[in-house]
Amino acid sequence: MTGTAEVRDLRGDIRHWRRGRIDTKIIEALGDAYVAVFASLMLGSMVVSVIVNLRLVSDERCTVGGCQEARTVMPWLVGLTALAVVLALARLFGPVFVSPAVGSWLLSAPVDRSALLRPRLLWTCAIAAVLSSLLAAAATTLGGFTVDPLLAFSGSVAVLAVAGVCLAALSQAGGGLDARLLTWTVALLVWAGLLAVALDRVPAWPAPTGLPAGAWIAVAVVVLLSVAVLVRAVRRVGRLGRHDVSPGGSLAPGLSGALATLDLALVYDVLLAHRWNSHDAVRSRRGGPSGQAALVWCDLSRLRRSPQALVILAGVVVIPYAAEAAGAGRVVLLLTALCGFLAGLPLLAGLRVVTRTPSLARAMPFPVSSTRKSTLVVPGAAMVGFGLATFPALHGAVGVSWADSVVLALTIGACALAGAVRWVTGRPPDYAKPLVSTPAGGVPTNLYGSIIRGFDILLLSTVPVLFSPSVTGALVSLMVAFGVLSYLVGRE
Amino acid sequence: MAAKKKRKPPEAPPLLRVRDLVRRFGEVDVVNGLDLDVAAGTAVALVGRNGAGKSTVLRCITGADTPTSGTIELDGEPMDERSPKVRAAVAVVMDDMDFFPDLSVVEHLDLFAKAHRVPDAEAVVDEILTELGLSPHSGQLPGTLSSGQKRRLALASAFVRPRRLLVLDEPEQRLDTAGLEWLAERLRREKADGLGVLLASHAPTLVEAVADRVIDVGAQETGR
Repeated sequence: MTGTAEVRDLRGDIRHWRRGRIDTKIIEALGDAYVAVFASLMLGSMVVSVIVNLRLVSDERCTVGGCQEARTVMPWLVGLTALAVVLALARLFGPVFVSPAVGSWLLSAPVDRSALLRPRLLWTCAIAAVLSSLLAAAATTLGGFTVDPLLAFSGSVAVLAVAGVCLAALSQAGGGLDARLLTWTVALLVWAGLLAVALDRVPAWPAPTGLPAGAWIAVAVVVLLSVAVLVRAVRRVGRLGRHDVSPGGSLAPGLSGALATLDLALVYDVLLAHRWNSHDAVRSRRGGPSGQAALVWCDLSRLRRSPQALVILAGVVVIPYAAEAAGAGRVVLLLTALCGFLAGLPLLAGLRVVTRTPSLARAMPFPVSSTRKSTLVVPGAAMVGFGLATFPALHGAVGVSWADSVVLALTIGACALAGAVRWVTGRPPDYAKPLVSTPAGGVPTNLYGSIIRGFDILLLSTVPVLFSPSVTGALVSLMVAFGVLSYLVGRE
Repeated sequence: MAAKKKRKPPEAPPLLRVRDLVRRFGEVDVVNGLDLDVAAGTAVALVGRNGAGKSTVLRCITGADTPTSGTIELDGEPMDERSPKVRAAVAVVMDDMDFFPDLSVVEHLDLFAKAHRVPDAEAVVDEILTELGLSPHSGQLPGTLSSGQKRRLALASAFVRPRRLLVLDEPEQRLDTAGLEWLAERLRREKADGLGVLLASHAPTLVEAVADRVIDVGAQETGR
């Protein structure tokens, strides 16, 4: 019997055991399938309709130079962003990973490991290809591409995504350094593209209506190279060790559990723990001040150890400038706050840990609110810096004076910080409190609200300055942001 | 001439005094009217079967849980864990201790010592690391430590800071024999230095070596 056949037998056994425990009736399964297909079709058609309508609006209204330039470069930036996200996710999970059960029972069995891991790699490639091509298709539709260039572009992005996953798989055994470099390179390309838009250095080409002969050759080369990488990755997948494929497998159930309860703060915990569990040891930094300042020192040590969080926050400063150059107007305010909010989250690790771990907060000789305030000093300073770095973009976007732009920028930084603090200090769904009866069973009252946690405060605090981009609007937004921060930091 | 009646000086309250502590979960009284004193320089051990309420007592005392009724006093004053004075006086090691995933062992201990403004904090931390055998692991992150090493780190966090009362919930958990011997010796030293110790334990050797008084939670008290 070959190794492949043994794996097939094992899979058959597992399938048999699972089927033996199924208690769903066929009519129930068909009903669930109907709901799933119907919901997918309905949501999908809504999304397609929105994209097509946006394209029509863009065709009519996007006539100014900056907007046309942004529209020209947008599909390329989205395609590259899709690749960067695929690479980042592939590195996060492995990309080849097995569940803890498979890791314990099947990887330790004397069976052909290639046969066990190959389908997982191929499934990951397929998912990456489908998602990235859908994203690219949406971007090219909005970019005004006709059908042929749209299909060629989306197909190329899908093929490149598969190549990215395979490259990540090839470097998985060696610690993933190559994939890491590739991810940062692609991210740098995206950033350079945004910078070009911000600096008005992108020519406003008309959207392609057909494909030149050279384009098909380029697509064919991309496909051939990707197939070569795929074949190599599939051949080598059996060489991956248990320690290479297990961490991703431990991460997946943790993330799915956190997402099942819509607990975004728990998602943050799981990702934070996963990231640092892969480090054996670090160079400890000793010394520093005493009292509450010791917590600030820890945050500074964190930043020196892992400056990526600050680099990303500095990098996203280019987005408001690009949006302003594209003529986004007041929307730049909201976009800036959103960028600060998302990029600021990694800076709040200290606050998150003292919030979720009461025993740590109790070990400090000061009130919990003082402990939380101390963990906000460094992220707060970073958000002030982020806000100040964006004030010329806000000045151009809303046309207020330079002095007022500084106030707006600081306000936006405060709104972003309030939203991020709301995210990381969120309480998990409480099943001990009265539950709401739903077809899915009893649901805690705060379960569905938790999915928008952080975004709600971001929107609430930004709305005044969005509708009234003036010092008065900014002061109202600041009051909301500081009120929320004060409540979240001070509560027991 | 009538002999002068000597007035007895008022008796100093014990370091920790618990009176008539009740913790009820629904219809079940997990702790029912517990009285407890811990004087400076003494150790009190809570023993009893699983679920008897030992950890619940400690959680109520440290403020991690709210008692249904009863009084808890530190130095004769109502004990409120939100008070910085209480936090500075009471060092707690419970089972729920968790750590910053991105700070090393020595950075954690430095943080605790510095937050409490310990003079010469780094020397104190180094001494505890050596005592606990954690020096070779000082640069490791908590996620890479074994469960026993994590327990040692949790214990170390209580010993690098100033304290007058130590509250330990099953401190013997996951410790090896050498670790248990060290802990017993360390707690005896704590008592000799005038500190109060309150621990819940399932380890008879530790209780025997350290406790001046044993309370069987959920049964009657046994004096020693």
